Amino acid sequence: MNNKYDVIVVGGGPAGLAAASEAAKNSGVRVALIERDAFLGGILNQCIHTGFGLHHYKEELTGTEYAHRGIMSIEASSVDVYLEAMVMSIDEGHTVTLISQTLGYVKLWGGAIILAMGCRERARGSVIIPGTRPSGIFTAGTAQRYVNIEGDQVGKRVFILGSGDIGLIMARRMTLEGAQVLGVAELMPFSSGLTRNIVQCLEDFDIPLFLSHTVVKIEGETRLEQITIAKVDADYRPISGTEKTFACDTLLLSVGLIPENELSRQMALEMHALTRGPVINNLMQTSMPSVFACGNVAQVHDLVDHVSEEAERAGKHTAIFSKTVVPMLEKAITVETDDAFGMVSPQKLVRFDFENQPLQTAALRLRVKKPYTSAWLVIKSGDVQLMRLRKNHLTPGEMVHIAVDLNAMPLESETIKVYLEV
Amino acid sequence: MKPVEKICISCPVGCHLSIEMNHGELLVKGNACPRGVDYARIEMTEPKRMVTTTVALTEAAINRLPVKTDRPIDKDKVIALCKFLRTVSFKAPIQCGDVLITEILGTDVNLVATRSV
Repeated sequence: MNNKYDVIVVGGGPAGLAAASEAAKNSGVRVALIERDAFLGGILNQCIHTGFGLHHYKEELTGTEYAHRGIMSIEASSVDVYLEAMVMSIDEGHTVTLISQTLGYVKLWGGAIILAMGCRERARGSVIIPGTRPSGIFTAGTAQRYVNIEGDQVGKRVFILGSGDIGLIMARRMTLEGAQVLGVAELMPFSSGLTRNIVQCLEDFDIPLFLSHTVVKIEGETRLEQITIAKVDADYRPISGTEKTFACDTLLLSVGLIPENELSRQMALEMHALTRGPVINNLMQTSMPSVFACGNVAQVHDLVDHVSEEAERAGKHTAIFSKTVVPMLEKAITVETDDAFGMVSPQKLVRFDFENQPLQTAALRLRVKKPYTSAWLVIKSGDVQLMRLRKNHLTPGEMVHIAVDLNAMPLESETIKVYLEV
Repeated sequence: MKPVEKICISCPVGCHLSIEMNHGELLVKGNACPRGVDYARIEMTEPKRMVTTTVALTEAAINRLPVKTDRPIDKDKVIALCKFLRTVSFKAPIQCGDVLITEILGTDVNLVATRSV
């Protein structure tokens, strides 16, 4: 096999599927897609619930159906797929070393690389719960894989820590599988999950949600036997005397996701403190010119539809990059935010694509740290106001999407800053 | 009758509705728009839910086949449906979109595969 590609995509989940298939639409662009699992589709394969595709396909699909469409378009394309293949390193931004079940040790060369490794779950170690270390404690996504793909039951009496969407979805899933879900505890005074999930996954089954609560004790010798939760104060410290105990054999943790960036760090890409992914511009390009990133590896998204949209953008620009000899000379504008935001992406804006065609707008995504019923989103360059938008019902669980008019940027501006005015 | 509390999920605002049935008349409070009343009416009279679950699968590389109802089913039949589906098994190959069971549990709802295996 010819090991020289124009574009190599690392990761065959939703981001990788969309990026590879978009890049391959350009004639003469040779694309490789590398996936470590035995199937394409990534995390969508265990997302059997609905709620996917309303933006991207204009109809409501299950996660598995959404993956099916992406896999079909890859199968109909010229993309070379490497399954059960693990990328060990990427050198000089071009040489990909992988270990494959069938091919062994392989080196591929790519004119451009797209990072689409997704994210993984925070585990017990990242939230520090005192107590013993029995079996029966899972991250919600691991339990989801056991139940939905392997067909194993994880437990009969379940408690869930964290009210993110995966935790809520698993509360319903475990109930439908015949388990008893005793409750969901959330450290914050609000849930980070979508409202429809709180209603359809908890209220439908009378599962209590304990806001401003956390798990303070885990008991059990070989298997989990009992947990204790307590209310927390404004500084998230447990309040003595508010403890409640639950006899349960399973504790699911839905306590956040972290972009999976071992390869990015190995390549010494510039990383962003808020997203925990590589710093990217609006062409999805990282600090290393031939390396691009899209999907949850760049920032954790709420909806797969947005992942596909930005992955297609990465695929399109990467295909152009791989065929362009002139490197980009333009200086990027840096995007900063005030303390109200917990995330912004992309963090750099350029006004021209790799063919030197002017770009009109850039999609900017932001996440607030706490809910607001109404606020103004203001973008400034120095003291000059560039944009002012009224936003109602901002919550950490739903990213804010704005289209920034690149023509409105003063030519000399090096930094723009996004403020939230309440 | 005591008012029923529901959160409207018609849009991201999530209004907290207080719903009262008074001699067949529906009285809704807390809604910011008319969609809240429609939501309350359906929830109080004939609540339905889409059901997604998995069924046993043989002769495939994976053990479970993800499935869905092709339209919402009465909410009070959801648990019975899942219980019934724990007793059935299917054999690969199956295409995403294949109808596996028609008119399940005497309803007008069909069971559809959501993955190709």
